[in-house]
Amino acid sequence: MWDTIIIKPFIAGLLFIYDMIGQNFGIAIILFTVVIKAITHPLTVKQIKSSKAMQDLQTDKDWLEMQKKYKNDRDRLAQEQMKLYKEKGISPFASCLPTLIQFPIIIGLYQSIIQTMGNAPLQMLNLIPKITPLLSNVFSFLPGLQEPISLIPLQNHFLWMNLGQPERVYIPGISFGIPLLAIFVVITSFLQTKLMATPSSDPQSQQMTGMMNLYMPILMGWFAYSFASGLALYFVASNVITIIQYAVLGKLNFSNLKRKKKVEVVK
Amino acid sequence: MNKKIFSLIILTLISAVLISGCTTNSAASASSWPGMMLDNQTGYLAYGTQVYALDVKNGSLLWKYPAEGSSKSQFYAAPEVSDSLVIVGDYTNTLYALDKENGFEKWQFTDAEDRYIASSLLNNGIVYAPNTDSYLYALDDNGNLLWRFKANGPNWSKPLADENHLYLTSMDHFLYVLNLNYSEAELAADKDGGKTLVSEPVWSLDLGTAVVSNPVLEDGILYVGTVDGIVYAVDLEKQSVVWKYTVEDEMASIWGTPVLTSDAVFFGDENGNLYAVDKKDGSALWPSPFETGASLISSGITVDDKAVFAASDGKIFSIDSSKEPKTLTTLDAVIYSPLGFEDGKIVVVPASSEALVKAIDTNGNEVWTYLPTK
Repeated sequence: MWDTIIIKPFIAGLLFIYDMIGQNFGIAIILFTVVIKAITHPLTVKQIKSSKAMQDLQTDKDWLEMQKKYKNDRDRLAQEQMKLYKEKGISPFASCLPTLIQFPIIIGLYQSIIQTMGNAPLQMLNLIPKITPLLSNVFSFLPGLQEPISLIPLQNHFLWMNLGQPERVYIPGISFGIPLLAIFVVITSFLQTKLMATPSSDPQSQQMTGMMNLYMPILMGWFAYSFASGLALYFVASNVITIIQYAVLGKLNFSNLKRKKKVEVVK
Repeated sequence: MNKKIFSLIILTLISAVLISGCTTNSAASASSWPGMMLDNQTGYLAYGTQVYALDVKNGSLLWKYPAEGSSKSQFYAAPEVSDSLVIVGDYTNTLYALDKENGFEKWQFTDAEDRYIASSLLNNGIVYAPNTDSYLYALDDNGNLLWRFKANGPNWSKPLADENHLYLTSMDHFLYVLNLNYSEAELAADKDGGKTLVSEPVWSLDLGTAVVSNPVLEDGILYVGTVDGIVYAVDLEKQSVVWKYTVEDEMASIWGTPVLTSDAVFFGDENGNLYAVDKKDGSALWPSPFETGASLISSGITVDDKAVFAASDGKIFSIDSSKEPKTLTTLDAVIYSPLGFEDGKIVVVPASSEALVKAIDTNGNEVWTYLPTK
C-alpha cells in the first residue's frame, strides 16, 4: 500500500527527471524536491494562514479575558476556547492537518531517494521490482528517454560528492574529512527554523521555539553527517526551497535573527 | 518539564527514529547479505562486522577477524582465498589480506574510494579486486597496486580468469575482457602520474543492462544474467553472444550465478521462477518455468549433476532437466547468499536466523549449525 501510493510514484518521478535532464542524480534530487514543494504549496499556505489565525487569537481581548477568568478551571476553559474558535471560524486543527498530510510525503521522499540510489544489494533488490513494465511503457511514450531499467546504476556523483556515501571534504594538511554538506544542513536548518518561527508573547511557546531552533539543526546535521550525501543534499535543497517559499509569501521573520531585540520586545 | 516541551522532545525522537529507519546507508546498518567462500574443508564467512573461518567438518570456529567487531568495518563480500591468504573487502574502502591459518592481518589496501560489494579474485599471485568506485584494482600478493582498470559504473561481480584473460562484468552494462597482467609500457599515466592505468580493454561487450551477479565460465563460454532478466552465453574466443534467454516476466532480475550441469543451464529470477535451458543453444528445456513461490536470489550449486537451489523463503531443493524437484529441507530463514558444497555437505548461510551457517547433507538432514558466540 505504502509502496504503491508513495514510493513507486516517487521513484518513477525521480527516474523520470533523472532521465530528462541527462542523468544527473544530484540535480534530479533538487528538481524533484522543487516539484514536491510546489505540489504541497497550497497545504503550506493553508498551514501558514491557520497558524497566523491561531496566533492572532492569542492576543484577542476575549481570549485573554477567558484565560484569566477560567485559569483554575481547565475543563471550562477548554469549553470556552472551543466556543470562541467556533465564533471566530477557526479550526484549531487546521494548522496541524497540512503538516500531517505532508509528513508521509516527506518520509516517502527520503525513502525513495535512498532506494533509488540503490548503492547496496538490499536497496537494489528493493528498487528493481519498483521499476515495473508499466513505468517502462510510460517512458516509452516520451521520445529521447531510456528504458528505466537501463538507467541502473544511477550516476551517483554530483559536484564533489558520491551521493551514495556520507560526504567529507579532505583538505591537504588536515587528517580528517570535513563534512561540508552536513555543515550546510545545520546552517540552512537553523536559518529555516529561526526565520520561520512566529514571534510569541507566551513564554512556553518561546521556550519551545528556542529548543526547536537548537535541536532541529543538530538532529538534521547528525543525519547528514551519518547517512548518504544524497539525503543531505535533499535536506539542503528542502531547507533552501522552504525559506524561498516563505520569503515569497512574505512570512520570513528576519527580526528573529536579532536575538537581543527580540527579548526586549517580549518584555 | 511542562507537557508541551515533553511532547516536542517525543516528536523529535519519533522523527529521528522514522528517518533513521528510512535510511539503509552507511556502515551502521545491514545493507547486504553474508558472503561465504569454501576452500579445503574450511568456510570463510564475511558477515557484518567480522570475518569467520569455520571448520566445514563440524562447524567449529577456527578464527575470526577482527576479534572484536567494530561498526566502522562491515563485511559482506565473500572472501577469496589462496594457499596462504584470505582477501576480503569491507563496506568502507579497505581491502584486507589475512593469514589463512590464524586470521592475522597481513596488509590493507585503501586506495579505493568506495565499498567492496564484489568478491576479489586471486589468480597466479595477483589479487583482482573490483570496487564500486568503478575501478578494478590488480595488486600483488603484498598489496601493492600493479594496475587498475576503470569501468563506467560500480563493479558488483567477481571477475573470472582463464589462461589468457580476465573477465569483468560490470554494473555499467558491459563485459570487459582484460589481460591478466600488463607491463609498464602497456599502461597509461594515472591521476598521480604513475603508469598504472589500463586505458582500453582487450575487447568488451554491451549486455544492455546492469550485471549484479557473478558470471560462470566453462569451456570458453561465459554465462551471466542481467537485471532485466536476460541470461547470456558468450563465446569468449569468437567474442560474440552464442545465445541469450529472456525470462517470462518482464524485468525479473537475475541475482544468482547460472548453474551448469552436463547438458543444461539453470537459473532463477527474483520472481521465483526457475528456468532450465539447453547449454548449447539456449532453448527452453521446460514448457514453463518451475515456480518456487519465493524469489531466487541465492546462487545454486551442482551436486551429482543436479542443480540445488535455495529460495528466499528457506526452501532448499534439487532439480534436474526432467523438472522433478525434490525438496531437501525448508529452513525458517530468509536465504539470499549463495549455497556452497564442500566435504559432501551443502553449506547454507541464512540472512535472518539465529544460526549464522548451517550444513546439511545431500538428503537435507542437518549436519551442524554455527551459532555465533557473543
